Amino acid sequence: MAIAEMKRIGLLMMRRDHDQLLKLTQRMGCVQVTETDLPEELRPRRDAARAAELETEMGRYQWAIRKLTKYDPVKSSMFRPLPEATMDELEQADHKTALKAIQAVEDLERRAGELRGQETRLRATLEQLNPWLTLDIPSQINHSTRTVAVFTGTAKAQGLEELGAAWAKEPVVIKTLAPSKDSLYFWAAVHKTKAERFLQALQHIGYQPVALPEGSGTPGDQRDALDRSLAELTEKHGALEEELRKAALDLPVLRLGYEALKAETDREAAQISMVHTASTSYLQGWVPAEVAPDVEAAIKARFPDTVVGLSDPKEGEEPPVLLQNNRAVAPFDSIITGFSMPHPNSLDPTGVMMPFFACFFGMMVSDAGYGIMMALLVPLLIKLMKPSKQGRKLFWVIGIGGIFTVFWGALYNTWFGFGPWPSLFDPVNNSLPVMMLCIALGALHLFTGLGLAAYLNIRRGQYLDMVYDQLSWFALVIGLGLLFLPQTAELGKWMAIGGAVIVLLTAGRANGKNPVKRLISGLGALYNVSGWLSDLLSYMRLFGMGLATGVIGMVINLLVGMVMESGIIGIIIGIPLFLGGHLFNAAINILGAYVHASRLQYIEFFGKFFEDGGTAFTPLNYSPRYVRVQDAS
Amino acid sequence: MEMEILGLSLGQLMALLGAAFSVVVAGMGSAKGVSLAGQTSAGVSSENPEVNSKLMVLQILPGTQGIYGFLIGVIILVNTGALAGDMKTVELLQGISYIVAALPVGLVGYFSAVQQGKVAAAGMLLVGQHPDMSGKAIVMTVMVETYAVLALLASFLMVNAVVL
Repeated sequence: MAIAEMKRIGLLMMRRDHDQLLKLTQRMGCVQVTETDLPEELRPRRDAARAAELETEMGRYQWAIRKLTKYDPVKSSMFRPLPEATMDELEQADHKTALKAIQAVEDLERRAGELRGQETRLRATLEQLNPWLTLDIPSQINHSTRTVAVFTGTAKAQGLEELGAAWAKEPVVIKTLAPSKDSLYFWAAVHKTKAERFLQALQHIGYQPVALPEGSGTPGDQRDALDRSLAELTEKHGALEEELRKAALDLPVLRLGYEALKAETDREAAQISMVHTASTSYLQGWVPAEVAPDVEAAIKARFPDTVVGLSDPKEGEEPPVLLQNNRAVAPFDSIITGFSMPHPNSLDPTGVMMPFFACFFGMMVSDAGYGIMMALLVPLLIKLMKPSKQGRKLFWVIGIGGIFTVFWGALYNTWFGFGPWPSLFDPVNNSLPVMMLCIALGALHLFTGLGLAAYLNIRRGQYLDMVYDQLSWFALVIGLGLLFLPQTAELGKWMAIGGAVIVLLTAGRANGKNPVKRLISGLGALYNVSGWLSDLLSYMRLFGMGLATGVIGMVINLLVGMVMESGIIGIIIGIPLFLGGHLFNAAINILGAYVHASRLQYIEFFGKFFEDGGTAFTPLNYSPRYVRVQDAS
Repeated sequence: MEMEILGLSLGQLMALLGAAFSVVVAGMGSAKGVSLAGQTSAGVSSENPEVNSKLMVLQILPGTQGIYGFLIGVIILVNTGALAGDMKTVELLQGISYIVAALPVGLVGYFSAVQQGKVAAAGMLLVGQHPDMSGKAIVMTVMVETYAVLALLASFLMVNAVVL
């Protein structure tokens, strides 16, 4: 349980070395570069041009990678580890091939856009042609002549019928075509001499002129031609896809190129924080004290001209926070970083939290069978999937939680939903002892939190604060608890009164000397007793979640049992049902247990002592997205 | 004379009604909450596909209320012997007690699941903008669940208080 001690590091180097030195630092991955503390006027104006250039370039790479991922011959899967790359590969990526591939993708994308445009136009024409398909007049001759006027459009169906009847003896031809909502498409040809009268008659029946799309041949012929063009377009699209598939073969190069740019971006950001003169460069940063001598030696060995200065943080300076724990506990620091970084002057609660977290997790999953599977499968999955550092921590939390799950599952006597022998703690049939146990564990958890707050006060020499803020509450809460037992009620009464008086008189001490104000704040603080009560009740979720796992497991077994009774087919259905059911139950409960165990730390436990406000230690290193970096030698 | 419907006494029918109430109402709430969260998840993922796996956790959080309701339903069925196929005699008042016992997990389950779904959806928007805040978004969402857990416990104690 520790927040790693940090040292200030200052590097004065020859300017010609600075690029290589940054690369070395990036490889070591344990120096966080910060702004220098030189006076403002000594710092040169920043040149962010290269950084902006890198950002644009990375954007292009990423765009191309996203486009091509769909066509990647190596399908990504949850269980497939990311490809491995050495640091050398990351530094000397083949940008020439990568850029060629990007250009090809951009070109293909442009052509695909053109094809899509053409397709849209063709489809629109096809849509316009639709109502005229039954008209057997080629478009070339479908227009008014010297003696004949042609009308095309829509009009009311009934009106057209009456018009046809009324004009039966006149020199006119009317063809009604497809319906459109409440009217009909029609085509009509009239002798020029009657055209004006005909138009008037049409206008009475809601005539809307509609022009036929341009083209040659009858509408039917035109449609066939359009269909042929569309088929051609589809073929061209297919060819483009084929080319994209070919371009996707360059994906590994593209990914490495992206990573190299990302690494350079990180170095560039460090470089911008540095100060340069014509021949020297100066870098300032943080390095964990533990590795500081090694860093110094490594830099000195390659760049003998460099001056390395190491010093302790200055008064008032807040170093970045790195949590350092032994291997069994370290995975659990991800739970803390997921909440907030502790203040550098505070403490790293990982070590104290770990047994509680794992214990609560185990109580909520609470099936020894699931626990065994978790403890066995996690190391296997880590070997298979090679997850990132963060992912590995999560896996280990579940694996270690699995061991605790076996313990609680055995105590509750739940093995894959079965309860083979009688048990002392049976949450379903005799729940009271289990509930008491949950509250007792909760009380232990909360008092540990309060104890950590007391420890912080003692470490800072604030003994009185410790008495006012922690000892008082210990007395008050324990005293209230003792009231429940007749033998200790008298003692409990005085402890509770003593604690309450201290809280009442001291909780408002930050509010100045006004005794009324202080008393009011004291009363407000006393109200916190209800907070303790709800905190304690919150631990009942340990019981509720554990119960849920057990009962659902039992129901699965019951159903499977019923299915199995129906002979050989029942067994064939029953086995996958059993496996799937328990897998589902385990998955949902592991997630629930993780989330709720975290919550009990964040709200109930951390609420008693946690001081946040630290910033995470973010060294200059390789943090690739698409590949895994081989461990540095 | 004891009234019988389909071979069940009125008391037994009430017990089954209680079981159905807890499963149905809590389940409806969870379905609504998970659906709301799922729609938001789809929206956020379309903007920012990389956070999708983080959103999945948020999406299933409002689903637990349905499980709690199911749990109480099953316990009622176990206690009345309905699961074993041979239902015990249940007096009318005992049957009604089962309905009363199902109220907390059903009603609190319904409303907390819907509200939890809303918090989960808002949390997803947060994660979409700041993927590193997913831990906090989950904590915000889990806060709502406390009351469903308390309702589950109350229902559980009440169901077990009915002695046949």
